[in-house]
Amino acid sequence: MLYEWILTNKEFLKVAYALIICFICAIIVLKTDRMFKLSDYQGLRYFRNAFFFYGLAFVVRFILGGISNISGDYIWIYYVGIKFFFEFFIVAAGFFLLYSLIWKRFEQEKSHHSFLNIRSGILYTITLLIVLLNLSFNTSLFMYFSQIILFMVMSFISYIKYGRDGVKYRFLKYYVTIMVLGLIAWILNMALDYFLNWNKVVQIGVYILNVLFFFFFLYAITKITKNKDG
Amino acid sequence: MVKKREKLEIIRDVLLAIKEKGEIKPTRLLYSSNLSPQMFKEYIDLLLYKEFIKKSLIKEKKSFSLTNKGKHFLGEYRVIENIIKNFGL
Repeated sequence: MLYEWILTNKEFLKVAYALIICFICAIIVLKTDRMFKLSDYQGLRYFRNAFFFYGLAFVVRFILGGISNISGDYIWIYYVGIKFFFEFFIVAAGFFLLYSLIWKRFEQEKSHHSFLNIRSGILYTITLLIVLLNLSFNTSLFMYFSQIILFMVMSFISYIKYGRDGVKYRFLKYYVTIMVLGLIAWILNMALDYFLNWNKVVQIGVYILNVLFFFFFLYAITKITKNKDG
Repeated sequence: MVKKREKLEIIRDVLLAIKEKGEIKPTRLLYSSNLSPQMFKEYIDLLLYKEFIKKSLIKEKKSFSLTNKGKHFLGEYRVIENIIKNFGL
């Protein structure tokens, strides 16, 4: 019965789902931006950028992309545009999330612009390449593979950091778990697109994983910012 | 072997040294900060730029004191450090 209700109201639920994730991303961006402006700590910048782009991706995919009464000869431009911007934002978000974990290996000095510097430029270029490859071959495989590889690497890196500091900083344990959940979500996304014919039950499962992914970050940041004694 | 301090830790230590004295002369702050003179100058310039500290002249002698922004940073330092460490940033 619940399943039928979900199917009947799926368009409304998709918009609600996107709005929840956008709201979560907005809170994370605002809180981490405040910390970044105070500290100029680059890892916070990249972490903030990741959630900024995740929020934009969900706006594009589920809110702008959910508009169904577009008509006209050039409607295909609208849908190509949605695909382009969604994939650009979500791939960029993944790259920034990974870079927030490893930036110290690549930079010493402060970069002056929040979204534009050489390293960010390299990330944007790789992102654009992936998206253009997808558009050229009319596929989403490059996006899926890039995100699966990114989340595998992030799971590994976060596990190393947990091994080193997990006793002192308890959220590191959950960070490893959530990275693995993110990896599973991306693998399922690819499976849905290429093997499972967008099976509704699996799709709902992926949406739940995504919500859990963003809720973890919101919960952790809210808990840490409330507890000033650590 | 003493672990090398991160940039944020150094900023915190310098601000705490200033907070402890209220107003502190540059030479005394240099000794408290445990920095080389060159690094000390860089950090003081940074803290002045970020308006965490202010420079004043008392009887023609320079001294540093915390601004409200500097006090705010010290208040938020633990939170910033916890976010950085808990997310491995």
